[in-house]
Amino acid sequence: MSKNKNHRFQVNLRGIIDLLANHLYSSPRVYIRELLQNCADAITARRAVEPEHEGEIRVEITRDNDAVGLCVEDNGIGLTEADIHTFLSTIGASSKSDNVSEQRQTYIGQFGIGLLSCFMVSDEIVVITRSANPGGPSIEWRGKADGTYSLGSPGQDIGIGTQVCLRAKSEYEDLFSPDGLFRLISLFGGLLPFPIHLRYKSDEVCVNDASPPWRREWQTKAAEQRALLAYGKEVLGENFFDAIPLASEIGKVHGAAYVLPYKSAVGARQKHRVYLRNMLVSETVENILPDWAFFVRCIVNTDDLNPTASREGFYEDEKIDLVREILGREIREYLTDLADHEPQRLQNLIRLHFRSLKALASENPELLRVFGKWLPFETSLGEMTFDEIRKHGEHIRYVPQMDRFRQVAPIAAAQGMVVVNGGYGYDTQILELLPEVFKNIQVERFDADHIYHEFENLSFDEQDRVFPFLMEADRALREFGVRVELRKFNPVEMPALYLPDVTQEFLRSAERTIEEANVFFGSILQTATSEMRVKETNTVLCLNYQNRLVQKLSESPRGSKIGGIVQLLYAQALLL
Amino acid sequence: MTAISIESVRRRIRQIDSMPLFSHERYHFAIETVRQADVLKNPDLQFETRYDLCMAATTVGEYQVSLDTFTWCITQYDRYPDRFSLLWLFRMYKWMIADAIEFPSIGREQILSLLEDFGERLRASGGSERAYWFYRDRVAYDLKDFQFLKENLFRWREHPRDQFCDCPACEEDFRISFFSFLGEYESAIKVSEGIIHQKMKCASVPHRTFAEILHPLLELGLTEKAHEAHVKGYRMIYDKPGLASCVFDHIEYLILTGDLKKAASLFEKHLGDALEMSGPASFHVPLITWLLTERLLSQGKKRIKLRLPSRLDFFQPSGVYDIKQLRTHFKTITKDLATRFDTRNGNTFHGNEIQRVIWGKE
Repeated sequence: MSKNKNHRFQVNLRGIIDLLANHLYSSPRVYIRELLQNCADAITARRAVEPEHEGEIRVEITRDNDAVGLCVEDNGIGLTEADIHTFLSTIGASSKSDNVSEQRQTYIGQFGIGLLSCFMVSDEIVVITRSANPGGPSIEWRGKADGTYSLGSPGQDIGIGTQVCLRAKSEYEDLFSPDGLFRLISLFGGLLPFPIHLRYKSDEVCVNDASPPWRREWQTKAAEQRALLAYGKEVLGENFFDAIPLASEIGKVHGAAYVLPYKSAVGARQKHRVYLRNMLVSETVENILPDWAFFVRCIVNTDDLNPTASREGFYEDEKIDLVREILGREIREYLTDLADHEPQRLQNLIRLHFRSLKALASENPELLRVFGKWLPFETSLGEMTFDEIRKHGEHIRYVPQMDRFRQVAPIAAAQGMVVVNGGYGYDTQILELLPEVFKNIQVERFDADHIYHEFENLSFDEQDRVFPFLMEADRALREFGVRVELRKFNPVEMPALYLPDVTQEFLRSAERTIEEANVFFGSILQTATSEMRVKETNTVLCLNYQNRLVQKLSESPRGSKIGGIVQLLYAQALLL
Repeated sequence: MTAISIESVRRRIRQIDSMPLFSHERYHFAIETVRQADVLKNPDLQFETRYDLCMAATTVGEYQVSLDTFTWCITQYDRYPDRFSLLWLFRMYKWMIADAIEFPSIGREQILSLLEDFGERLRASGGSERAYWFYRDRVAYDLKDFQFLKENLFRWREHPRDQFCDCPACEEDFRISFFSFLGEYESAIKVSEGIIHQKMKCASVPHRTFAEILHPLLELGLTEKAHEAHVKGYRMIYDKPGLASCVFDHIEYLILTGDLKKAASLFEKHLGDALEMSGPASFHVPLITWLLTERLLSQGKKRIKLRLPSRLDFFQPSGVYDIKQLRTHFKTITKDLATRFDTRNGNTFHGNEIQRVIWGKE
C-alpha cells in the first residue's frame, strides 16, 4: 500500500439526493422554492451593480410529446463558465458563500445544495445562462442525476440571466400542472418584490401582483386593520378575531399576528408562516413567538434571522430570542391598548383566550393589573371573573388542587362562600400574585379542614346513639387508614366529606408497604421515611348527620351491612 | 350514585398522560388515582397507577413517595412475576436508585446493594448490561467516587442499547456531569455541543444540558457561550418545578458574572420549588443561596424584599428579609447537609465544595 498519498472521497450523487429528499427537505415540492430562490438571489446580485435594473421571473410549463417540463427564467446576474464549474458542479459550494455573515443579510440561499433538490423531481437539469459580465457568451450546462454533466453552447444566445429547465419524473407530474404550480409559486414566492409570470400554452398570469399589507402605506389604522384581516383570511383561510401589526428592527421582521377565532389548548404550539427575505421558509415555524402566545398565529417576513440548512426553520440563537421578546412586547401592548380603548372587545377576547392570557399574566404583574379583573375562574358559586369574586370580599380563598376543590365546593356553596379552584394551569400563580397587584386583596390557601372545624357537633344524646355505628364504621375503613366522624353540615344532600391528612396517609401507606416488602427493600424505605413523624391517622371521613341516609344508617341496628355501606360512602367521597 | 369503576380509573390514567410532566398538578392527580385503584383492589390498576405516581413523584422531588410506590410494585412483582410489566418495573427501579441516593440516611452499602440487585435482575431477564453500568457510573458520580469514575468511566458504552436503557439523550447528557466532575471541561463542552447539534431531546434534555454546561464554560473563560447557554437554558426550565434545582446552576452563573439583581429575582421565583427537593440536589440550593447572601452582604446590602412562598419556615409576611439572618439559616443547612453526605459517602467532596463555591478555594 502506498504511503502518505491523499485520496478523494467518491460522492454518490444518487445517495446525496436520497438524503436530501428523505432527511433534509420535508417534501419534493421545495424544488420550486429553490429555483425561485436562485432567481431572486441572481436579481439581487445584478441590482447590486445596476441599481435601476427591474427584476423579473418567468416560469413556463412545457409539453414535449408526453413529457411535462418546466423552464424558470430570470434576468439576474447570470453565470460565467468559471462560475458554472465552481457553483453548479460542486456540491456544497454557493455563489453566495463568500464573506458569509455579510452575504447572509443579502441573499436567501447560502448552502450550495439548492439546485440539487431539482433532482428529486427531474432526472436532468438544463441550465442556460449568460453572465452580465460584458462579452460573455451564452452557455449550456446539462447535469444528470447519475453525477455527470456536460457543458456546451446553446443553439442561440439568450439575454442576460439564467434559464433552468426540468423534465418531470412521471411520479411528480402533478407538481408541474398549471394549477399546482400556481399554488406552489404563490406559496413560496408570493411576497417576492418583483413579478413572477406563469405561462402555459398561450395563457400567462402574474402570480404575485399584490404586495402584503405591511409593505403598503395606510391612511388610517382602521384601513390597515381591514387589509391585514383580509390578508389573513386569504393566506390562512380563517376569519380571525383580530390582527396585530408586528415589526422588529432586530431580525428586520414585519408582518402580523392573528388572534384565533376559537379556543386553543393550553400550551398548544401554533404554526406560524415565516418568510425569509420574502421567500417562504415554512408554514410551521413554532419558535418565532413566546410560548404564552398560543392564542395567535402569525405571518411575518424576516430579512435577518438565520435559517437552518433545510431552510424550513430558524436556528434557536440569541437573535431569535430577542425577536421573540420584541414581538411578545407588541402583543402585550396590543392588549393594554384594547383595555384602554376597547374594553368590551378585550373582554370578548378574554372569553376566548383566557388560558393563554393567564399564562401571560402569571408572569407579568403589570398586565395582571390591566386585565386581571376580567379573568374568569371556577368557584364554588360557578364561574366568576376576578371582579365578581372581589364583590364577595377582599379576602379570597382558593384550593390549589382540583380534586380537593371538588370536595369543598358544595359545602362552601351551601354557606354562600366563594372558594376558587386553583387547580387549573396558572390559576394558583395568578391568585398568589393578586395581593401584589391589587391593594387590600388577601389570598388564603383553603382546604376542607377549614370548614370541617366549623361543622356543628352532635348532641351528647345523639353521640350516645351513634357510638356503636361509629365503632363499626371505623372497623370498615381501618384498612384504608381512615377514621369516621359524624357532624352536621350543609348541603344536606351531601352524605360525606373526605378529609385526607397527606403526610399521615403517606406514612400509613409506607408502613403497609414495609410490612409486605422483603427485608431488603423494606429497610431502605424504612430509612427514607424514618425522619418523618409518625402519629395516629388524621385522615377522616366526615359523615353528615343531617343527611337522611346517613342518619338512618347511623341509628340502624348493628350488623345490618353497615360496613359495606360505609365503604361505599367512602368511595363516593373520594370521587367527588 | 357515581361509582369508582375500572373504566373511571383508566380514564384518570389517560388524563395523567396528558398533564405536564414536571407539575404538582400531575402528582396530586396521580395520588388520587392510586387511592381510587386501591378502593377497587384491582392489582393491575394498582400497579399501573403506582407506576404513574412513581414517575410523577420522582419528577417533582417527592422521593419518599416514589420509594414507597416502587417498593409496593416490586413486592407485588416478586409475588406474581408474570402478571406485571418488567419494563415498567425496571424503569421504576432506575428512578429508585437515583432517588435513594438523595437521602443521606440511606447508607452507601445499601445503595450499592440496590444497584447489584438491579444488575442481577437485568441479567436474569436477558437484558443488556448497559443500563447497569450506566447506573454504576451515576451512582459513583452521586457518591462522589472520583476513583471509580476515573477507572471505569463509560463502560456502559461497550454494551448494546435495549429497552431497559435510559434514552440516548439522557445517557449523553450525563456524560457532561461526569466529565465536569472529573475536571475535563473541554470534553464536557464537546458532548453538550453534540447534543445540541444533533437535536437530541427528551423530557429533561437539553433543558438540563444548558444548566450543566455553565460551570465548564465559565471555567474555560468562554463567557459568551456561557451567556448563550444561560439565556436558552433558563427559558426551557423556568416553568418546570421538577427542574428547579437546575435553576440554581443559572443563579450561580448570574452571581459569578455579577448580575446579583437577576440572581435575586430568579431565587425569589424558584426557591419554594427547589427547597421541596430533598437530597444532594438541594445541597446545591442552600449552598448557592448562601453564596448569594455573601455577595449581597459584601455589596453593603442589609435587607432584601422578596416575595417568597408562605409555606417556607423562615417566611416573613412583610416580605422584608434580613440578609444576615438568611445567610445564617442557609449556612447551617448547607453545613449540616455537607457533613451528612460526606459521612455517608466516605469522602470530603461536599465540604470542599463549600470551600470552592463560597470562599473560592480549590
